[in-house]
Amino acid sequence: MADAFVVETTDLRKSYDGVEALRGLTLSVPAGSICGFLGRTGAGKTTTIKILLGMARPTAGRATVFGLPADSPAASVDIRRRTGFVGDDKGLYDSMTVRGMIRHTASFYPQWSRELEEKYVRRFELGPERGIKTLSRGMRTKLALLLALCRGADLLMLDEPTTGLDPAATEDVLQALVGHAADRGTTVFFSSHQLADVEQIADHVVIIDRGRTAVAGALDDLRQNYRRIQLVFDGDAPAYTFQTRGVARVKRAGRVMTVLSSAGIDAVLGEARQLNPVSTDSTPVTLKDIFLDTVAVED
Amino acid sequence: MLFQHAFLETRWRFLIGLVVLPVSAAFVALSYPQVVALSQSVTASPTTALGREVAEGIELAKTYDSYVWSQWFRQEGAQLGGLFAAIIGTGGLLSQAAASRLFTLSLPVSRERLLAARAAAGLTQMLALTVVPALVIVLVSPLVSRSFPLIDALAYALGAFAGCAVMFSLAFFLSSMFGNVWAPVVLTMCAGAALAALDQITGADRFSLLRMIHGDAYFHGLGLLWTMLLMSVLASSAFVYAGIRHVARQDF
Amino acid sequence: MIFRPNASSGVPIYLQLMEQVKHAIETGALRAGDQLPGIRPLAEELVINPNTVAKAYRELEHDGVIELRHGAGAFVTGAAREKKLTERLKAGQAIVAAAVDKLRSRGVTEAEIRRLFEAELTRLTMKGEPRG
Repeated sequence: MADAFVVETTDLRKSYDGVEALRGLTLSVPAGSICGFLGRTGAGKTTTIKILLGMARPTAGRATVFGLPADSPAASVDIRRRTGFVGDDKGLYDSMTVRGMIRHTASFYPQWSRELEEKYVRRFELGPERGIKTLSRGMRTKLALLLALCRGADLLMLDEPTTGLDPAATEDVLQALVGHAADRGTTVFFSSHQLADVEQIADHVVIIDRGRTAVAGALDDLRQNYRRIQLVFDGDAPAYTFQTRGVARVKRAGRVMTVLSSAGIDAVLGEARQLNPVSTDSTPVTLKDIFLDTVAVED
Repeated sequence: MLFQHAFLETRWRFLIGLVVLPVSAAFVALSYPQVVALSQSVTASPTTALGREVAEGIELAKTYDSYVWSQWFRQEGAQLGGLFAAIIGTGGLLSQAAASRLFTLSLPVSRERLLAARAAAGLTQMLALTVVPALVIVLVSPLVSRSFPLIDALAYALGAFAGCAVMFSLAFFLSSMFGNVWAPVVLTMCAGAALAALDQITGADRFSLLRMIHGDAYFHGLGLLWTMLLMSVLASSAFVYAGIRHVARQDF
Repeated sequence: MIFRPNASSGVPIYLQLMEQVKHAIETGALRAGDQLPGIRPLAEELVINPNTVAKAYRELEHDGVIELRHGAGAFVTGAAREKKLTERLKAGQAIVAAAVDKLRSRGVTEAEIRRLFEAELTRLTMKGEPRG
């Protein structure tokens, strides 16, 4: 796998019945990374994953996985052979037993590892004879995760893997992902609402908002570059539009102006000095702040 | 594994059919003595429509072969076969729960293979549901001191299978258009009913699908209608192909 | 080394990990020559990204706290380097004590002092100067 990026989309668009789910989404997922895919409900996360796996076809734009076109049915079969998918509903056949589901899935993947299967059955405490109908949500997630991990995939694609799980089950899932990725260099691409989980294990992040990429990059870079700058003025904070690139949000409340910038403090401070603030202050910003301030904006 | 899985998906419908059809067929065969006794005590007036039907029934009951043909292969067997063909043909990806559907679609198999496996499993089940009752009749006939020729039973079963295959394929095709699991069943049964009505109106003979299912021509000593069998194979293939193409292009 | 990194605390996880290692050395839980866990096993145990562990180890090596022996792993450095580190910290402590005294004599409160130090350090990070 010589490509630097396992997943790439360019100006991806998708309309369902006149509703534009994706409006030109461009993203890249570096090989070997753990990439968190964030966005509000309805922003287009599941649609993107469906397109990447060949379950839906784009209206326009390109999407490639392992360098192969996602909208070609033949290539899509190859993509799916190398990808482990866990949907947000976990997608298991209720009429089967745990063992039956595992055997059925294993039959499609020549690279299936019995060793890993036994390891995870033990680790997740999955009773092989149990009916899938009887499993709790946490157990279903773990079984779905097992099915994805044992097939020797180069890419894991998960849609909200920890949503609805208790903290212990969440930790189990995250630990399995980190352990697996670390051992095999598997790329992990997962959508999530649990920002804390993303911050814990991801090294890359893509935030999607209304069908487009709002923020993308290495998590360390984002933490370094995003700053909240507070300017206090003598009188009311002036209404000012910053020229500097990267200013994501400006809020004014009384004598305080708060600026969220993705391009570093210096440029913003340079411009802010002209306004003669009484004091300037800068604080680091968490992923939650970045998320809320870039997608929860009412334009 | 795709074939086995598809087979398992319709296993309850299949197993119910596998009980209902052979048992009904056996019942028909085993009722022969009573029917004979009954028809001997009845006289029918040929002036009314009902009277003519009863007279025809009495006529047909005169020999065991014609009785079995008229009661099972022309009537009950055909109706039940058509019903189960529609019930087994429906289902599939569109009416499946969204969660398990996405899992199925995430497997490294083309949609064509997925659907072809479902069609193959369904047709295999239909084959069993048409052949087994026929065999049961052959096996059970000695119990009423009669015998039904195996070759005839298989010939009728073949006609029934060919016709039911068309019904199955129609339901299969319709299931690629509707997310509702019952719509294809209802529409297929309506199509069957429409065919029957058409037959009545036009008085169509050997070239009606229904008559082929019934094995009319064979009963009247004309042998198997290879043209009709071929047509039904073509029709089934066309419906299955259309269903596969339709799903292959869909967004999920 | 069992601790739970706090992903949302605002302090980068790699820094938290570095602090944990240094703390372990100070309290004697880790001694000169002890081997640290491998990057991958540690990442899995702490449930954090392996790159984060790698970064922490690199920075610790830069600080002279540990040394990365190619192919063998990460080891706590010997006494001599440790001593150098302690001396450096001692000197630093003196400088900080003097600065804090001076600020307090000007009426700057403790909370403000803390913020001033943090702001200055983050400003340096912004400029790309290594937090060595």
